[in-house]
This record gives sequence, C-alpha cells and structure tokens, in this order.
Amino acid sequence: MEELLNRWIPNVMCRTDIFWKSVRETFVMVGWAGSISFLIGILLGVTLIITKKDGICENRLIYQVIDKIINFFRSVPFIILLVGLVPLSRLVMGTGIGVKGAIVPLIFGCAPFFSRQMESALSDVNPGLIEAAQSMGLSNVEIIWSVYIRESIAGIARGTTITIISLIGLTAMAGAVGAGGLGNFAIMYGHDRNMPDVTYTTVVVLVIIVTIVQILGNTIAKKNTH
Amino acid sequence: MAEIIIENVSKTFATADGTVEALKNVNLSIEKGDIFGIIGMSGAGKSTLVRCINLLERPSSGKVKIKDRELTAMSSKELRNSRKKIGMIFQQFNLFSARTVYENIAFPLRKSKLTKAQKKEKVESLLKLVELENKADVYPSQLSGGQKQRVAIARALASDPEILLSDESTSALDPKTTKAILNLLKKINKELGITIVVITHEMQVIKDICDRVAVMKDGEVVESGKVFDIFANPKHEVTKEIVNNTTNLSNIYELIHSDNFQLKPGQVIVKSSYVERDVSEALVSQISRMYGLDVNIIFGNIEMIGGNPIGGLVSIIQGEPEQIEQALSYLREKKVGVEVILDGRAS
Repeated sequence: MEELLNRWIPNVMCRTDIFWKSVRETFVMVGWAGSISFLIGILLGVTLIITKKDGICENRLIYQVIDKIINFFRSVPFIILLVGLVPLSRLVMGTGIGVKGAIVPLIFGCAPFFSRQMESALSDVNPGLIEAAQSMGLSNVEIIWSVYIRESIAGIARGTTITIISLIGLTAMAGAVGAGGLGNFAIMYGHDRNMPDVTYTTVVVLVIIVTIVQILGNTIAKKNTH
Repeated sequence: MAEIIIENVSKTFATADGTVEALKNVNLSIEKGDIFGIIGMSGAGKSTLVRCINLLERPSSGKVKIKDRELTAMSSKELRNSRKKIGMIFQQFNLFSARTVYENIAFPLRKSKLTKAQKKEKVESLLKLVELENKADVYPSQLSGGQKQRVAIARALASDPEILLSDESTSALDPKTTKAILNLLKKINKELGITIVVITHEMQVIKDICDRVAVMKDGEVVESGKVFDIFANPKHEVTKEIVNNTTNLSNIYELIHSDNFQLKPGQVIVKSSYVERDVSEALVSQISRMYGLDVNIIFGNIEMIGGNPIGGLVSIIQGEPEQIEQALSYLREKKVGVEVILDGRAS
C-alpha cells in the first residue's frame, strides 16, 4: 500500500506532515468560520423572518437594513473581502495572515449566504402553525424556538450542508493568499513547484470531505422530515 | 352573564387599493355552554370576527370581553394567559408536522405545572376522547383529514379551555367525516361544558350542532338568534338565500318554469311551510275533507333543526276557487306559512 502511494503521489508522501497539517487547518477554518456563521445565519435569518411584512414582529426598518447588508456582502467578490478585511482581521484576531487571519473574511463571506439559506428554510414554515401557536398563547420567543426552528430542522440541515460545502471552497481560495489549509498546500507545491500529484491528492481529499458533509446533511434532513 | 361579549367591534384593513372594512360595528353576546354558529358567504368577515375573539386580529375599535374581562384592554402577557383558555381549531388543521400526535397534544402542556405522569395521563385521556389511542406515535402526515382534525381538537382541549373557536373546521372534510367531527364537537360541548363558536359557510353545520346563529354579510351581522327561529322565518335576503340553497324546496321554481309543466285551469300551486314547531295535526287531509279539495303533493322537504321540523310541502290544490281560498286561510290560522306560487284560478 505504502509502496503504491509512494509511486503514485511521491511528493505528498515525502511531506505527509505538511499534508496532515493542511487538512487540520482546513478543518479549523471550516469549523470556526462555519459555526460562527451558523449562529449569525440563524440570528439574521430569524430576524428577517419575524420582521418581514406580516411577520410576528413586523419592522420595516430592521428588515430593510439587514436585507441590504446581506446583499452588499454577497455581492462583494470573496477575493476582495480577503484583502479588504485585513485591517479588521488584525484588530479582532491580532493578525491578517495565516489560518487565524482567514477566519474573519471567511465569516463575512459565508454568514450572509448562511442567513439567506436560513431565511429560506424558515419561510417554509406554514403561517397557519404560527397562528395556531399564537392562539395557544405562545410568546414570540417561544414561537421562534418551538415552531419556526423546530419545524424547519430539515430545511436548516439542507441549507447548512450547502453553505458548509461552499465554505470549504472558500477556505481553499483563502489558501491562495496565505491562509494555510489544503488550498495553500495545493498552490504552494502543486502549482508553484509543479507537483501535479499534490494538486490531485488535494482535490481527492476535498471531494471526500464534501461527500461526507453531504451525506451527513442528507441524513439529518431525512431523519427530520415526517 | 354572557361568556363572550363583542361590543361595537369594527376592523379595517389597509390594502394597496385603499382600506377595506372587514367588520362594521358588530355586536354579539354568546352565552356559556352554547354552540354558537356564525354563517355567511366567503368574504363576509366571519374569519376576521372569530379572530377578534382571541385577538389574533385586533379590532380597530370596539371591545371584546370574555367573562367580563376586557381582552382588548389587556397587556400582551395577560392576553397570552387568557388565550390559553380559548382553544382554536382551523380548516387546515395546523398541526406541527415535526411532532408526533402525542407531542402535538402535549404541546400546550409543556409549561404547565403538571408532573410528567399527570401530563401523560392527560394526553392519553384526550387521545381516548378523540378515539385515536393507537395513533399516539404517528406523525400528522400519516393521518387522514378527519384524524388530523381530531388531533387538533385534542390539542386545543389540552389546556382545559372554556371556549373553543372553530374556524371552518369541517370545510376541508368529506360529508361523512364532517358528521363525525361535528358529533365530536357536540360531545365536547355536552360533556365538558365548553362554549363553542363555529364559523362556517355550510348551513348543514349550523343545523347539525348549533343552538344559536348569527348571519353575516359584508362585515355586518344581519340577523342573530335561535337557529330554528332564524331559519323558519328568515328575514334578511342573505338568510333566505342560505335557507333556500339548503332546503331543496327552492327546486320547485325550476320545475314550474320548465317547458313541460302545465297547470290546469282552477289549479293552484301552494307552498306551505312550518313556522311553529307543532306538526301533530293532519292538515292536508283536514283541508281535503273540509273543503272538498284534491291535494296533490308534488314536492316535500322537511329537516330537523334543533329537534324541530323545518321545511314544508309544495302541492297542487284543485277545487272550487272559493273553497281553496277558505282552505288557505284555515292553514294560516293553524300557523302554517302559505305562499301561492302559481295561480291557475284567474286564467
């Protein structure tokens, strides 16, 4: 087995330590940026749903402001966010480069998309259920937790899957400007030093990660669809 | 003391094409233990009115009182607590699809002070009441419409409400299931003493279970009172239309206007309807004997409303013109509504 790998991907096998470090860095970036974006996404998605017209806390101003901010960050190309947010990154994380430096732009690149996914999942909740919950005397906070979120777990799982997979793509891009992770590994060795086996290995690993995330998401969604 | 009092309630909605007056100065009082029907064509404002009872729609003006406590003056927290005593069921059932039947019914109990065992006992007794004991762990998507409505009823009853609002709860169901759900509502009303407000566009629903009824049109209550009185003696056009649509007696007009219908000279077509509740006298054979008339019953429809007959007969009466006239006054004396539909005496 090892012999075979040595023959096929010699440039990866002679630097497995860097390879595994890159995999770990990718997971760190996806993990941190993903969880923070998830929380922001739920928060903004819920806010959009409840403040929109005929929502349970209708508020035109808040809706419009959040809606526009999300649109703004979704229209800025990620590569520009990466560079443009370096000062903010330095302020928050203490550095603008490496894995730590990539997390802030990754959140800005991912959270707006996440928010839209959440908004779409939550808007699938039948308005009749909200009315029924109100008739039972539930407060708005209870309605958000026990009805909106509880009823759309499957939709949230599907939206999360899509977002996490696109986030994995973003981390590879972040690698291009020195963030570390598999993207960086592929650029540094596969491209710059002309070692195609490194590039291929990276792609294969990313395909495996994406597949696992998709299967996980599908399973959760399926379990929560009745 | 009335259970629900609706006082001068108006509701206007702002739409793109200006404001719409959904309710215009509605006054109603609903007694404890009654099954109160609100009937009207779609767009009459029934659904808005029922939502004003638990303030899902806040009236633009007017007061809503439940047991002398003014809902329209409550803080939102007080209002939420009051709503727990007002159950509501809907046309589209509105069950939580991500929760099982058991979890749906237990939902209103999740913040109650009952112990886990007490909650279980309560949910199980409700399941028994609606005859769905074997469906506790099933998800709503696996139930039929009638079963879903039963679950919704059980869920609405879980917080021990004093009032149950039913918004077109049988309109999505077939006639047989409708009957079963109505019987269930009747049973709940009798056994638990819950005041029920039923919104419907179907006369049949009112006839089957309601004690009192209000008829609505264009946001106004045009008539209200005991179901028998309203439907035996409809005063407003809308009420007449609803009654005619349901008692097939109106079909007679179609018959006499058809080409192959010919009245012989001297014959009279008379529609006689019961206005009072006594049907014990053999009036048809009486007038036939007393005035030497031939009475040919061509159409009849009698339905029971609140245990009393409503409807009547259409018959062709043949005989001496004067005798016919006397017979008709005799019927009127006996408190039978008499209407000459077609008179062949003159021609």
